[in-house]
Amino acid sequence: MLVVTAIFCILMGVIYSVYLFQQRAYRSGESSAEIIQNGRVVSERLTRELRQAKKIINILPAGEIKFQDGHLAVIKESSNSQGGTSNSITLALSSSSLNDYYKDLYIKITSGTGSGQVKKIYSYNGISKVAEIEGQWTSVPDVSSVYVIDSSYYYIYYYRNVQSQILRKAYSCCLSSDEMSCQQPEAYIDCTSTPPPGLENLEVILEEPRTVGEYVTAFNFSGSPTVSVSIELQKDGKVFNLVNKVFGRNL
Amino acid sequence: MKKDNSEKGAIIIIVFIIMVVILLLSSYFLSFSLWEKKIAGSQQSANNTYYISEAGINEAIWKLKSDHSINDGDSAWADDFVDPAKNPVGGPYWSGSFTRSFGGGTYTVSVQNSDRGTGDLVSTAKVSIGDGKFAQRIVKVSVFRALASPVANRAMFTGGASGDMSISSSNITINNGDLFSGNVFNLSSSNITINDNPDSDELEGQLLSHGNLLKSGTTLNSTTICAKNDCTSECEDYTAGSCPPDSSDLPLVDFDSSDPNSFKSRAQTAQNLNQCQILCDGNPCSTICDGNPCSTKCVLTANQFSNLFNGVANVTINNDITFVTGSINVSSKILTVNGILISANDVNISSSTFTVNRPDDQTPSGLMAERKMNISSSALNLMGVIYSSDQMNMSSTSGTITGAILARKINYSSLPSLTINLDNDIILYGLGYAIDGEAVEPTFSPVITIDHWEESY
Repeated sequence: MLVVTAIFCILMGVIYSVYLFQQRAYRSGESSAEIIQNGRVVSERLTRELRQAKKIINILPAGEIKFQDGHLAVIKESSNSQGGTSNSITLALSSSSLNDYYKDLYIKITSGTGSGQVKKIYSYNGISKVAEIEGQWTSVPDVSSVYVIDSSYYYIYYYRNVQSQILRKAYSCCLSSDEMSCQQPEAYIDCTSTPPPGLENLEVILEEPRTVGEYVTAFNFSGSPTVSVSIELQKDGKVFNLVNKVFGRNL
Repeated sequence: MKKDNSEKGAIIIIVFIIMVVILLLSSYFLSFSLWEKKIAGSQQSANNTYYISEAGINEAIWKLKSDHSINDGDSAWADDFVDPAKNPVGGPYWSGSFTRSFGGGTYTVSVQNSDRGTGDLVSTAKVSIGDGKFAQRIVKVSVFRALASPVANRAMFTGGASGDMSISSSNITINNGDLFSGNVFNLSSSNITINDNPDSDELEGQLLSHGNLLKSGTTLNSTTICAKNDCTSECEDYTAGSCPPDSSDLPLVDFDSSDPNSFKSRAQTAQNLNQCQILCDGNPCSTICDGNPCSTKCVLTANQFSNLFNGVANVTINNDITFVTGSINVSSKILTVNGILISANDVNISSSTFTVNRPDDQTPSGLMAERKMNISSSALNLMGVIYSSDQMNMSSTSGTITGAILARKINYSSLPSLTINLDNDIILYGLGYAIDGEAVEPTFSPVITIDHWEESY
């Protein structure tokens, strides 16, 4: 009986070890899949945008990248809105009659009701002039609201924060005399340009930083004319290195 | 009572069997876990290798587009890719390769041209996974550089000496292309809309003027204004106040040289092969040209062409190329051209309905004048290139043109509605820069187009 008990205990130990090993392997596989997926998402999104970039505005090599977006048509319009709902705005009668003409552009209310809000246009109806926005207005625009749609200079900024997340921010710049607000009428300018005397380039955030990926322990850009992108991801001891080169068609 | 010892030791056997079963299950789970671990590792190296391979393709595409140097140890791929000496007609065609260390692995990219400006790229990436083993990923891509013309993307173009463009009291819409004036651009009392091509990576819809832009009473919608006296921030060479594009000459056309590729030679060849047909009111024209029915002609004199319309309201020309050695004059008629109509002198069309069709995508189509072109009070429906080596005047005319308008100088007035849809391919064939799918003294687009993408291990 004693021998049987001893063998049984040894076997239970072995089984428990196998169980632990299996759990570790399972967690390891799960972590591996997760960091691969995060790496792919970051890489795909970044390279797609970088491929169309008009200009990289920070000096490489660096652990972040800022570039001028080159995806959208250049449209500059400003007018009074005809009204709005919680998730839409009716643009001026003189606005384009083409459906989705303003799709993916940012609209900013520069004065009147809802002033200061910036939203991305999700869709546009060329007949009704109604532009649906992503999210909701905190203050619904009305006929007093003056809006600006200006895609002259959109910039995209990818960087890593201390939580090992990759964040993406969209922004532009305007001229400001008080370092607080844009000069009226509001227009977006080249963020790298030298402002006239007495004025400053003020950053206008078009899209607050959004998380693109996690578990990124190193994020580096180097090289020219093809930009080398290096992403290192870690989770639970698993490490995944992803490297790529991007050829900017417009750089 | 006597104790039955027949079941003595059964517990050991049962425990033993249970232990064996448990051991087998344990070993199964152990091997299962080990496989899981290996699969996860393979997945990582496969992904890593794929991106290294893609990096090789990206570098190769850059080299095909922009590498004119041998400083990196490789030949100048951008030159070799389209070099006629290294890519003679019928082959053998140019090939090249390079290897780089990158991201803990290596990639080797090779290119093999299948024609001038057309090739297949193969990028093979390898990453060591220990024990002398490698993870490998291969990406195969077919690429080409499209044929370009010096007026690519120009839906309306003036160039050369005093290449002014003047538009008054007109409504003009241009889709997918640019407006280019080689000198002063004068717009008055007009509505001009120039739209970008949403399907293209490039920015179209531009108003480009080498000279000043003079604008009065005009509504202008364009993606850019790049002129000597005006410059919007989207212009390629943005400089506040002035960013005129370089001047550009009107592209030359081989109208009537002795070269077999000149339009006159090609029309003559088609005539010799009995490939010509001209219909008058639906039937072969009955007039006689040089002892033969004019209906079988591709090359006509000015009088012969004019005589086609005697007593006829509707003329249909089914020739790929019709070459008139003098001026073309059409008044109050219906003229349909299924190809291209060319005058070695002037073209004058008035009060007529003029239609040009393109029978297939390798046939030149349009209307060309070796000198001036005047169109008035007519209705146009043209799928072709409209070209005048000298001044082009148009008034009181409406219609749609799919192709482009090119002239040394343009003067348009009172056009109620004119729509121009740019088609670069029509320009190429229309100007004789491509014949039957083959380039003739081609220039190539700077854009590398990816035709096919394939991945393997």
